[in-house]
Order: sequence, then structure tokens, then C-alpha cells
Amino acid sequence: MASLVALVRLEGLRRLRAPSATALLVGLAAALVASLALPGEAHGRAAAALEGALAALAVAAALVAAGAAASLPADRAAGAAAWLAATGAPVPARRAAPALAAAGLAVGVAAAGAGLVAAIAGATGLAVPTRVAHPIAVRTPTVLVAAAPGRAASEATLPAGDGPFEVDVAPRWRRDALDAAAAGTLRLVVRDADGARTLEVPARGTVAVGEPRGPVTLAAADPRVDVVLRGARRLGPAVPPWLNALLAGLLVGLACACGAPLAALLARGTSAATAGVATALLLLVGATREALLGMAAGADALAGGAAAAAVLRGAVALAPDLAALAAVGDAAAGRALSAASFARLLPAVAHAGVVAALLAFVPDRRPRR
Amino acid sequence: MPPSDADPVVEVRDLVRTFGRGTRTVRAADGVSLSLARGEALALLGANGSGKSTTIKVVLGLLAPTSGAARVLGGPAGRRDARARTGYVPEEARRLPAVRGRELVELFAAIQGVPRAERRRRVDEALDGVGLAADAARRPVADYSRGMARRVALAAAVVSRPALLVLDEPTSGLDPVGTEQVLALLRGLRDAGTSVLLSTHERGTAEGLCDRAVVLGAGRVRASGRLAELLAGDATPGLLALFRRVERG
Ligand SMILES: Nc1ncnc2c1ncn2[C@@H]1O[C@H](COP(=O)(O)OP(=O)(O)OP(=O)(O)O)[C@@H](O)[C@H]1O
Ligand SMILES: [Mg+2]
Repeated sequence: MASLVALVRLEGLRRLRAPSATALLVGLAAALVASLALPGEAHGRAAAALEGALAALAVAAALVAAGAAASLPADRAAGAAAWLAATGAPVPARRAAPALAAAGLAVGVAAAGAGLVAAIAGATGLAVPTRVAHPIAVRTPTVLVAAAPGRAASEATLPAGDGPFEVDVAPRWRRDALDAAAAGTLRLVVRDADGARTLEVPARGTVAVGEPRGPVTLAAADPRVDVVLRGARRLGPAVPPWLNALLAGLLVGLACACGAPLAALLARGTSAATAGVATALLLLVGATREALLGMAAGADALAGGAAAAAVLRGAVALAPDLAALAAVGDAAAGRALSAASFARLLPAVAHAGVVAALLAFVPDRRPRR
Repeated sequence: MPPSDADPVVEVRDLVRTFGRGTRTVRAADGVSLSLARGEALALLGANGSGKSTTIKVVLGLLAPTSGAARVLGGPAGRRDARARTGYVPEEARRLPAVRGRELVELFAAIQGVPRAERRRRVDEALDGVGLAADAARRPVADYSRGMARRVALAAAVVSRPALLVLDEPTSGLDPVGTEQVLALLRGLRDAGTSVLLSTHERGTAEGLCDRAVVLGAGRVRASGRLAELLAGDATPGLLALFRRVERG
């Protein structure tokens, strides 16, 4: 244990003193300043600033995690690997130390950066008003369809509750009405105990429905456009914006830190640059996996697209699932992060655990005879 | 049977270690046998490429023997408890980049089990013993001169007061004062019961520390015994006469 602590400390020092660490910090500082200075007004500006800052922190944390690839090849080249191998340090500790140090630094960078951003945002009036969010179960897929000649309407009714109500929607244009796309807005009919009203909503995103009384029925208003209902929630009490920003930074850091064992594992077989770049790419794949899987499904439909789909699915299968990065959007939208937000880390943590076990316990190739 | 003081600390039997395959096979060690008792210092001598470093790496468990065996501190070479009680100075002035001298020695102290409360004092002692000044110890190892890198590697090897020291050319690149300083340090450790296996090309280092020597040539033991007898009253400064005699057989 003492040797693991000492090795992790040493690896941390090496990472902090690497020339790339300074470059990374300068780049990150520039990105944070740029995101806080984004143009826009009031609420939209605060949300954009937080989203931009958290995205910059995610990139920085991912690069720090990928930095776990640097040590093993350097030690191999300098002969330090053999030097350390002749000591009593357990093999798993020696191999895992660069990954643990990089993971710790990734979390530290993201959390500290988020704390700084929260402090600056609070001081400059850019804090995102944040409330507790209680998700309402929505059966997926729930598609709202307006009645038309020869077609019955399809609606959704969500349970009653207290507090402001929000839904996440996306349009689905009907094949026979592509011209509707030009309209650019989407209309939603909301019915509650007080009656019905029609909301104009942005084509994609989250809509505040006000504070409806009793159960709410949602219906599509336009026969040319179906509405896909992706989620719904009621908003509870307010929470301090700085706390939410800090938690979001922590979550982003933890998610990206899950790439560190991968970088160290790849570095056992390749150069530091190869392993680092591969890790950064896999983290990118993990962060965009839903969209990539959607693209794979689309590619399947194309002639000759099966290979492309297989490549996409293969990359997604290898990459850690960074679903937890959804916290960036949640925090920017003013939704308080919860235990459920942290639970979304589990697939990435499991991935990191498997990779770390491979890293620490799979023996080296036997010495050449 | 538990290991006793009389058991050799290092025992190498009929060690063969080859590199490469087919016609390109190199027999780096070709039937090497040697043993090292507690509190003894043994010099491994021999021309470049004669198999000294290969033998040392097998003793450390860094290389597996092709055939034959090496036992260290009462078990097969390379066991973790033996490694924890062994100090090693590798052949080249090898470096962990971006680490300061003192940090490197602290790392080895922690890894090799020096209790936390004693670390500071023991690191000071080790740095002092190899003659590395405090301000030098605060600089990155990557910036060290060859001799300074050698000294810090030695400090890292001795900081845990290991039962066995394995030193691959420990004084190469050291100035005469540094060599004498290091030899004095090693003599003190040897007299306190540490066994020392070292390779060297320097007569002064061998004579300054070792009673016995093993002379390798092309992977085989060409001669072994008391160093004074091997040198046979030779008055020339280096090991040239010994090497010539051994080559003639
Ligand atoms: N990893 C390796 N791969 C191939 N050949 C090797 C390897 N290590 C050593 N050898 C060969 O084994 C032989 C013995 O090398 P070794 O390093 O043990 O010599 P040495 O006695 O330590 O020499 P020196 O005095 O130059 O340090 C040499 O011919 C060398 O080329
Ligand atoms: Mg050698």
C-alpha cells in the first residue's frame, strides 16, 4: 500500500510537471474565459456559459486522463521500468499507478475548474437558476399524433403533481408533409383541469408547460408533424447554482477519468502518442455513442452500409459509455443533479474496472528465449 | 528448513541465458555458477559483452533463465519479498524524467518499506552517503551529470538498507573522490552484513570492496577465487593483465 501511494504520488508529480500540463492549463483557462464571455442575454447566456465551461472541462479532463499513456512507454525507453521492476513494488501497483494518478488529476481539474466557474458565474450574475427535478416516467417511444382524415389522434396523459412542469420533445415530420419543416415551429396542445391551450415550442428541446392543475394531457396540434415525447419532469425547490455546477464538474471529471486505465493499458503495447490519441478518440466515441448508434442504424439501411455500421458499433462497444456527461445539459438547463445522475456513471466505471483488471493482472509476454 | 546465516544469499547454478533464435542465437550466459555469502562482496569481472549484466538481471528476476537456476535470499530469483530486500543500481544512469533527486530516493524508500517516520532521516543519510549535496538533490534527475545520476541511483539502492545490493558498474562515471566516498559507504554496509554483488571494469572498485571475484568471458566463468590471488601480485594499475591471463587460459 505504501508503495502504491508513493508511486501514485510520483506519477502525479510527473504529470503536473510535464510541459503539456502547462499548455493544457493555459488552453483550458482560455476556453473557460471564452465561454463565460459568450454573447447572449440573461438566462440564455448563463446557460450557454455553463454549458461551454463544462464542455471545456470535459475535454481537459479527457486529455488529462489520456495522459496516463505517457509514463509506461517513457519508463520502458529510459530503462526505469526494469529499475522499478527490481523493487518490491507489487506489479499491479506499478502498472496501475499512472492510471490512478491521471484519473485523480482528471477529477481534480474538472471539479476545481467547475468550482472556479461557479464562483465567477455567481459573482457576475451568470448563475443558472436551478431547481430539483422529479422525472415523470414516459413510456418510450411515446409519439403524439394529431387526428387527420382516416387517422385517430394519439395523445399522452401524465399524472398530476405540484410545481412547474416541463416536457422534452422532438418533431417527427410526416413523409407526406415535408413542407412543414419550413415552418420551423412545433405546436403542442396541453389540456388540464383549467382547459386546453396551444403552446408554440422550439423545434427540439425542453418546453415549460407552466403549473398545470390535475393530470395533463398532451396532444399534437399539427397533422403534418408528430411529436416525440422524450421525457417529462416536475420542478421542485430551488438549489444553489454553485453546488450544481460543482457537482456537474465532479461528474464530468469522474466520467472522463474512466478513460485513464484504457490509456495505460494501450500504452503497454504502443507508444505514448498512439495510446493517448486512441484513448481520446474512444472517449469521444463514448460521449457521442447514442448519435453514433443512430448513425449505425441509418447506415444499415444504405446499400453497402453494413460495414460502416459494424465499424461504428465496434467503436461504440470498445469505448466507455459516457452517458453521465448528460449532466452538462442538465446543469445548463437548471436541473439539479441527483443520485440518478451519478448512477449513469456505472457503465463507464464498470468499463474502467474491467480495463484496470486487464492492465494490472494480465502478465507480460514471457521474456524472449 | 528456514534460511540460516550460512545459506548463500545468492546462488546461481549452471545458468544459461540465450537471446535470439536459430543461427543468430547469442549465449549471453553459458553455464555460469556463483554464490555469495552473507556480508560478502563479490566482483563480477569480464570484457564487454561477457555476460555480467545478463547474470545480474537473472539474479534480480528481470530475465528468466533459459536453463539453470538462480536462488536469492532463500527463494527463487525474482520473488517479491526478495526484491523488497534488494537494492539495485542499473548499468546506465537511468532516469525517471521530471523527478527530483530527493523525490526519487524518497520513492524507493517508500517502495522498499522504510517506515514513514524514518524516511526523512534515512533519505538524508543516503544522499549524504553518496555525496549528493542538498541543493543538487532538489534538481530534476533529468538534468544530472552522469556521475550525479549514478550517485542518486546508489542512494536509492541503499536507502532501505537492503540485505543484498546488486550494483552494475556502480562507480563508472564517478570522479575519484566520489568513487572513494561510494566505496566507503559500501564497505560500511558490507561490514554491517549486507551482501554485495557488483560488476565493474575498475580495479580500484573491485579491490576497494571485494575479497572474491568471478571473471566471465563469452558467458562462461573463466576464473574465480580470491581477488588478490587472481591479480597475482600484478602491479599495473588496471585489470588488463588479469584479462590477458584469463584469455590465454
Ligand atoms: N536484450 C538483449 N537482446 C539481445 N542480446 C542481448 C540482450 N542483452 C544482452 N545481449 C547480449 O548478451 C551478451 C552479454 O551482454 P551483457 O550485457 O550481459 O554484457 P556485459 O558483460 O554486461 O557487458 P558490458 O561490460 O559492456 O556491460 C552480449 O553479446 C549482448 O549483445
Ligand atoms: Mg553490462
